[in-house]
Amino acid sequence: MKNLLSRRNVLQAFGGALGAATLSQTARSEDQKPAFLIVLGAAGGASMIDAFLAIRASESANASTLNTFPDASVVSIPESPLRSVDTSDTSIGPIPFGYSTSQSAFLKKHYQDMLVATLTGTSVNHTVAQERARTGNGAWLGRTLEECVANHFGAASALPNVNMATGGFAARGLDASLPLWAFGAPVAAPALWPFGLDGARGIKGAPDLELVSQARSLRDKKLEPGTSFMRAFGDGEALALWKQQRTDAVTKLEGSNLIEKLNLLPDTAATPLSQYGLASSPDAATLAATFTNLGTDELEAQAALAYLLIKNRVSASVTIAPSFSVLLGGGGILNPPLAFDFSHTANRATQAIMWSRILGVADKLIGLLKSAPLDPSGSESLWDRTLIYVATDFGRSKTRPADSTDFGSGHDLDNGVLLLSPMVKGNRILGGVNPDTGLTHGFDLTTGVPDPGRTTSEAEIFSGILDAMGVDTTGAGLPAVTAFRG
Amino acid sequence: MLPRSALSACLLACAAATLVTGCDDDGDTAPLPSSSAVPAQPASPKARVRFKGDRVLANDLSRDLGLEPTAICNELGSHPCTSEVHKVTLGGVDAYDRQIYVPLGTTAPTTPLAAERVVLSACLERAKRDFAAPDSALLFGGLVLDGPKLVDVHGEAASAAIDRVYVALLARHATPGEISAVAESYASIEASGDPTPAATWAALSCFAVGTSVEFLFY
Repeated sequence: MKNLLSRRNVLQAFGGALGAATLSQTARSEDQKPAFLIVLGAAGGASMIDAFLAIRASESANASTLNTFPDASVVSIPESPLRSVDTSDTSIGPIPFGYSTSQSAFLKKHYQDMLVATLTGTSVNHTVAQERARTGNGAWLGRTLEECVANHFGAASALPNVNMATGGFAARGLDASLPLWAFGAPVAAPALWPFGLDGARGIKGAPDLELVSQARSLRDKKLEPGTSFMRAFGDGEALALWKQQRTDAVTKLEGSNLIEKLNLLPDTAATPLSQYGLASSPDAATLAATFTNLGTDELEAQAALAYLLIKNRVSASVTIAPSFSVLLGGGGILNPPLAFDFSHTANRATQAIMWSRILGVADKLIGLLKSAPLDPSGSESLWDRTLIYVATDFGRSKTRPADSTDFGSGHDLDNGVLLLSPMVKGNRILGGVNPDTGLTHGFDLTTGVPDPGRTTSEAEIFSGILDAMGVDTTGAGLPAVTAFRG
Repeated sequence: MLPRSALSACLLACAAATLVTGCDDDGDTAPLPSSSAVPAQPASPKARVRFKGDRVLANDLSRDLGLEPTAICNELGSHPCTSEVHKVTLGGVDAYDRQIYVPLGTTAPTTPLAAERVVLSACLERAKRDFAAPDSALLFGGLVLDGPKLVDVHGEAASAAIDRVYVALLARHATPGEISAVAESYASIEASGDPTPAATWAALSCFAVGTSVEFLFY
């Protein structure tokens, strides 16, 4: 994770969130509704022709050697141009675990909020490509989408941008002029991370919080100021940042009782919260019922925490992603080794399992967000103002040995992205795919009409997402992309 | 004439002592510096300091407070704070489980609270052990107590305890002003109705010093 600390960052941090809002030229106006971004990183290379741009064998002149599917496996619904793949097998390449997945169930449920846009990336290096999927290949001074959204919508939030991913999905953007709070706060262990949102609660034998507060005051006002250390280094940027973070942490994090509001853990013998004076989040039971592998699957824990961060208005942007570690569960493989990148060994099975995993998490998040009102009026749900961006590294190579159903694939720049949101013009494919090559083409950036003469760039996807969310990009120099807008 | 090996050992010992306490011309260790005894510290033109990070924080607390690494801080009694729960927040990496290979370049918004938790846990443990066995206490021995209350917080015993905290954590003596400020904090603790005000005062004194930037940064 790159981190650049500039003098301006520190000055902006001094202003705190509210103060910094005035420094940010792109902060949302008071009458603009809040909006939330969830970046769901499909780590390893999620191939769109293994999902919503799937090609039926009967459509292709090169069906035998192209990554096409038997016609019966590609499921369409009358209401939508989007496709899906339902497939099963008795093994995942050399791994003797069977699987059976259905993308069509997700399609039938969510097609109205689904937009697939074609994309031609610029890197087949995992880390670089993941980063570019979030920065539009440096489209706006190197800012990530999450930073843009946090900067615009999150000025009053406690932690505007929370990032639970790794690698290029966690990389910090390059625009040091952004306020520090717009950069991602890292979360490594989502179920336990909330303990670090309070300096004293949940520590056995800890004194009364008022006494802890007095000890902090003693430190800050009487002990620290006169020391040689402070005289020597007190004006340095690291300490200036620390002192501001220390103040903000107490008021915004500890003061909001986030140690409990975001606590996913149940009060059990294994995690005896009540013995430590703590309680679970009021939503913990619902989340445990929704994410049934919450205790063992860190992606589910990330998603549950993402929901709580948004519901409690702690964050405007949250990034989650599966890891590259293998995860077993339910008698099968939940997460193949290397996630989507196990496609090198077994493309079809890996893509099926991982797409199922990503869509399953998205489905649960959508359900939770739909059930939570945006405001007390109840006229809109949180889902109405949320966009899930299924970001990925790149696509996969399009060919296969003749008629093979168990083949490996390489990295390929050609691919597409999936956006899920009521804020986008859903039930739509922007661009298209050539059934004889598996390669995609672009679309008119304003009307969305397919344009076989062009391809879609990372910057255009970046711009289209920000446009759909209502982020002010004035002066950014981004390509004008309004075709995503709902 | 000293054998070569003995001379080397002597020089090494002197060098090591210098690192910790300073070394006078005779090779004897000099007293730890007291802020009041040295000229006013000029501001550093670069003022480059770094947060200790997960490992150094844990190691320092373990050494300075005489605690086993496993006794410093455990969330819910079983999840190690510095090597697991708050590791990345405190500037660590987690290559094997989470593919986090590079530490944060700056402190995160949640780092101060995570650091406070670790230090508070360690200080509570130190105070608990010292009050349970005053004769072998590391920092808070010799205090004059009336039940759970401290007698004469401005007396020599309390002042010496405060100074031991400074020496342990900051490798320097406390100034008279610092001793006075820490001692004065006792009154409000006792007035709060805390059932064990002396032990609480001890732990919070340690906490106040141990969460100061002088301890957490280098």
